[in-house]
Amino acid sequence: MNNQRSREPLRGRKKFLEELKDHLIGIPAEDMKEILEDYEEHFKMGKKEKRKETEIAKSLGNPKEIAREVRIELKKDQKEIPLESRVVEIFVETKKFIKKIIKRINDEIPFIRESIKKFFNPKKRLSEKKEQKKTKEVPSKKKGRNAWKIVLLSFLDLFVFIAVFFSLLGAIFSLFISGIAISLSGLIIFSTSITMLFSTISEDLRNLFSASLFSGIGVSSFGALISLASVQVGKAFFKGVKWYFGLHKKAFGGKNE
Amino acid sequence: MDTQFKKGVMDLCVLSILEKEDYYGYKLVQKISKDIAISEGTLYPILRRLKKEELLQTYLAESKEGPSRKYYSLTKKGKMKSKELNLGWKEFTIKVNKILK
Repeated sequence: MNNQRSREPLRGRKKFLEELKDHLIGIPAEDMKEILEDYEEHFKMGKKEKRKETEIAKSLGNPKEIAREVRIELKKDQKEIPLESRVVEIFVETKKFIKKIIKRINDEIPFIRESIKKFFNPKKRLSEKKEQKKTKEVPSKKKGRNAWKIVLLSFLDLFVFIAVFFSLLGAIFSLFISGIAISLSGLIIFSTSITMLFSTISEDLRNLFSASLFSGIGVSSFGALISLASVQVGKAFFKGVKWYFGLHKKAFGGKNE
Repeated sequence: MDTQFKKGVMDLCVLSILEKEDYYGYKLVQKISKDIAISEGTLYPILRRLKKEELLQTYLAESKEGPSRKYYSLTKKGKMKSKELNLGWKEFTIKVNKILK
């Protein structure tokens, strides 16, 4: 440990804090600010005791090491949010979204009735279209038309979202399960090979089963890899969904809330 | 001593010290690193986590010389945790000592 320390370059306050900041890039801004303040205060206190900046920095340790420590502690904190609560969060968001759309439809009901009537009465529609062409669209009608579009789009949006959400969720989940299945089958190959190798068999078979022993290991680690990858993909997916809702809040929020 | 091993008991050390008296960061770090050889910088992340877990709270207090300092004190939850860890530690060391004999 002492050897390692003597090889460390000497740092002053500024260099230490800069290096620490560089290694901390990516953590939440609030955490970053507070952490840097903590070390800033540490330097101030040390200086008051007439210690040299380089000496204080040396006893604090390597900024890279500290940054790693910070990340580990931040992760420990995040682990307390279980996956279930994130799923619940998404369902709550979906419910809110559906409510919003229903409210919007309620607002537009008179117009929708009119539109439906028009839709089932093509003659009237045609004549109206002609009229519109002549008069080059009355402003009030234009507004109604836009509202109709919004309702339709919201519906489409919802259906597309539900379809995409569940199919992707299913795909990721099936990837996860198949990963486990592959890894289990690898384990079976592995264990049968071992039991066969320990029983009395011919040389040829022995060669065959030693080969299958290693392929078993390979297959099962491949399966494990798939499962792990699917978990990561799932996490990214939930993040994506959250982002998607954020987008809608921006788009709809301004008018409804 | 192994670093992992030392880190494991840091929660216990911090909570026990603060059970007797409130400290500001610098003093607390000095007190621990005086007895246990640990990079002083690695204690601040631990303090932050303990605070996030609501075992610690901080408050600012004026000092005679210079700017105000950030003091750490135990919360109710922290006091309970400290007692729990202390008990666990005592039981653990008794068992280990028995094996070492």
